[in-house]
Amino acid sequence: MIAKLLLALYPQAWRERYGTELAALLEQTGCGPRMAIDVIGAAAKAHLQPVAEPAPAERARLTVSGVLACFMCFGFVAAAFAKTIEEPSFATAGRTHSVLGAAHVAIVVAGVVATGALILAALPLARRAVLEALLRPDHTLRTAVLGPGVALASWAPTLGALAVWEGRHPGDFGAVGVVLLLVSAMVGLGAAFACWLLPRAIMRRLGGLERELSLAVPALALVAVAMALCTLALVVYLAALLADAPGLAASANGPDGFTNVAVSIVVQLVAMALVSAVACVSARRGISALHHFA
Amino acid sequence: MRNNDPQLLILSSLAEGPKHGYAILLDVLAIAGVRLGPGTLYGALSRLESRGLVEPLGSNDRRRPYRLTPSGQQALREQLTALQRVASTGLARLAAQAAGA
Repeated sequence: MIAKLLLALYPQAWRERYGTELAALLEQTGCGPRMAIDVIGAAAKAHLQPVAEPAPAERARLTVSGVLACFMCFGFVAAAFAKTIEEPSFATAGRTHSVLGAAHVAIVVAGVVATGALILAALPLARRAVLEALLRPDHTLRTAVLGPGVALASWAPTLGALAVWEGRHPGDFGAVGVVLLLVSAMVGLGAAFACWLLPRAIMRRLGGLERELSLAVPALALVAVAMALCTLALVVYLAALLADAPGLAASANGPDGFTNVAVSIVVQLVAMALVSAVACVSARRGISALHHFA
Repeated sequence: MRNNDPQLLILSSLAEGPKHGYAILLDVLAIAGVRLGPGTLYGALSRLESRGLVEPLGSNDRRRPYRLTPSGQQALREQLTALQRVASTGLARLAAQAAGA
């Protein structure tokens, strides 16, 4: 089981070539912590310094997975940012100080553009996946196509329960609230993994997909650019907040006010910058792969 | 060029004849005292194979043996000769310093 998980860390092409042999070796050496660390490091190196460049279609599929994963992380950080500035005083400050307000609008617009572009990218792939699932007698494909919807549908009730609890106990989350929050976070994490892993599995099962990827990858490049612009707008927002509303920037934030708004936004900014950078690199590789499509 | 470089150790091990992964690990441990991890071993093997220095042999077993190619023999000879030159120069200088002291 551990060996399988470790092997899953390698690029697909590498796994297809050496996976069986490495699995056999791991059975002989055992999978202790030292071996696991060694394999994780080697898998990371296989991604960073691939022995052979994957085929163009595989590179484009990796772009889909990569940008999708980045978008999910970005969405999580963006939700944290929205929570950080949820107090009405931030909206008031945005109306009073034009740069702060404009930066906030720019963040929202970039977020909407990124989401729209992601939907645009997903449409041709989802259409093909659904059609193939309906036409092919392939039970695994059908399950994989249904998976993301089922995962998200499982998450919705936990979010609903959390919202109802918070509505009935404003300002006093309590132990039950914390448990609900943890359950919702875990189910949400599982749903996010399902929404990331299953499209990968579907694309691998369908193979090819050059026509759909030719439409999806440029849209994903737009997702990456919008994420980068959103990050730049957040830099402006933070600078404007520190200059125009230092009291708000210094106000308490987080559970029991363990930090302040400015520190929270700096952390969110770093996370957004990292995720945007990875998404841009991934999109660039996808665009270059498109040039090699027949 | 390091004497504990995984690729050099694997080439040296295969100079004896074809071996599969586990046999290479044991041999490297015996000849150099270096305990290669499975990930390191297959990372190095994949790079050696992509450079045409080793090649897999057919096998019905999940453990596929590898052997040196003629290019691999040549590359190993060159690396070991260079290492030997460094080693003998270093030892000679140490000996000269000890004699002068």
